[in-house]
Amino acid sequence: MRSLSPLMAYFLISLCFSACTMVRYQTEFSSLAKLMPSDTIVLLSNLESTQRFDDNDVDKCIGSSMRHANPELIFVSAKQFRENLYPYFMPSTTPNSLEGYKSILDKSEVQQRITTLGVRYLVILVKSDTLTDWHGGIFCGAGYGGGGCLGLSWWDRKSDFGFVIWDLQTKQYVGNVGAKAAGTGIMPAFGLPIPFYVPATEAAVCKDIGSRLAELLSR
Amino acid sequence: MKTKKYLTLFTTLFLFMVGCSFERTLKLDARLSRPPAVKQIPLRIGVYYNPEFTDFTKKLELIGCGPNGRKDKSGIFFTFTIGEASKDLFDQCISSMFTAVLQIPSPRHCSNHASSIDGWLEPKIESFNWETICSNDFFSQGRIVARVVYSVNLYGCDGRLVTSIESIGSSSEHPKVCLTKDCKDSLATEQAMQDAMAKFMIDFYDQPEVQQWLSSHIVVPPAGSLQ
Repeated sequence: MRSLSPLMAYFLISLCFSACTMVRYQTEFSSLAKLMPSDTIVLLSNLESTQRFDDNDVDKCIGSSMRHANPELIFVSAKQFRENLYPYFMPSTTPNSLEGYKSILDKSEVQQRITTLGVRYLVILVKSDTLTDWHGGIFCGAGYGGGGCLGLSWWDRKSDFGFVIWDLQTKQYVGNVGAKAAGTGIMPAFGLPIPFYVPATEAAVCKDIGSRLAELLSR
Repeated sequence: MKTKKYLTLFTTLFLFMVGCSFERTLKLDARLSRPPAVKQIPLRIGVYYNPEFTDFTKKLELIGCGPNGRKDKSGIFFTFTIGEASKDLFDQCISSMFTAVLQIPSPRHCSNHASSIDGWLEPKIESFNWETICSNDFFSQGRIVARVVYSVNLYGCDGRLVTSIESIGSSSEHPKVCLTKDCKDSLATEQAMQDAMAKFMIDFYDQPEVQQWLSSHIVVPPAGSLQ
């Protein structure tokens, strides 16, 4: 029993050390023109490829960190953009290829509305995967005298987000940004299961992409 | 505002505890705030609304998410008045697609109608689904997903079916259960209807049968201007 205690302690300490969240970032840009004072940005979700993240989630994800990194950036709301561009850019009608974008942006009625809104860059979510893998176990029981739980659970969480940027005025693909984050959460149960550390992988990815995007668009 | 939130929470908990069910009819309004960004086709089009279409409603139960993605019945039922809202949206969409739109009382030949029309459309609701998708982890979270399938038949003046276009629309959002009468949320349904109608509007121009039919009805070929 005594020999098990250091082993258990070592195991718990290792878990605690691996419980931090690490982020890896990747980017690829072909051409990025400096924003004019009247140019605006729109942030969209692509609901056909990722139903879990809607426009509000995208705004919360990268919008807030972009605004924080550069308060001078001007945004058009996703709702206003979609309302103006209907029937295009709805979940089923959002283009997914260069040809698809060109054929929509070539339409005079679409260009007219984009010009009215002053939208220069469209930042659209193309990937939002978060995987959680649970390990360990917690056993709970209850009787006349009371109840409780005992055990240890930990989970590995990985988030992988990707955004594509389009220049709506030059009708060109500008580039893509993406980031991956991984972390481990721990939940010991001595009576009650209480999470000791919850890895905020999505928040880490969002913050990283948002601040870097704001920096790139401010150059 | 806070009082309303507490009232909603209290009502939900109370209903859950006593095992009662609750029903609410959602008043849907899927009309667009702006006219769609499409060019009008110079045609007079009739539209026939079958009562099956305009009266279409569906009652569904709200499902909650338990630990590890478990699905729990809530006892809260919503009645979705899809037909009425679809009619208003379809009216708005086809009004921007064609120069003149006329509602016809029966699906007959064009010659039977006082005003001359070039053809007529008949929309149908094939299906409507509304469910909660729960994530599989311990702290399971749910998203409400709405999915609507329309089919729109285009008939020529002779009553011949030119084509039938099926369009599927979907939308999802975080659940925001609102039990008071002045709730305006549609629980993703209005967005799904708008999505399906957007798909119809775009697909309509791309159908070879439609293009062929259009070329026989309008003097100037529509290909460049309508795409």
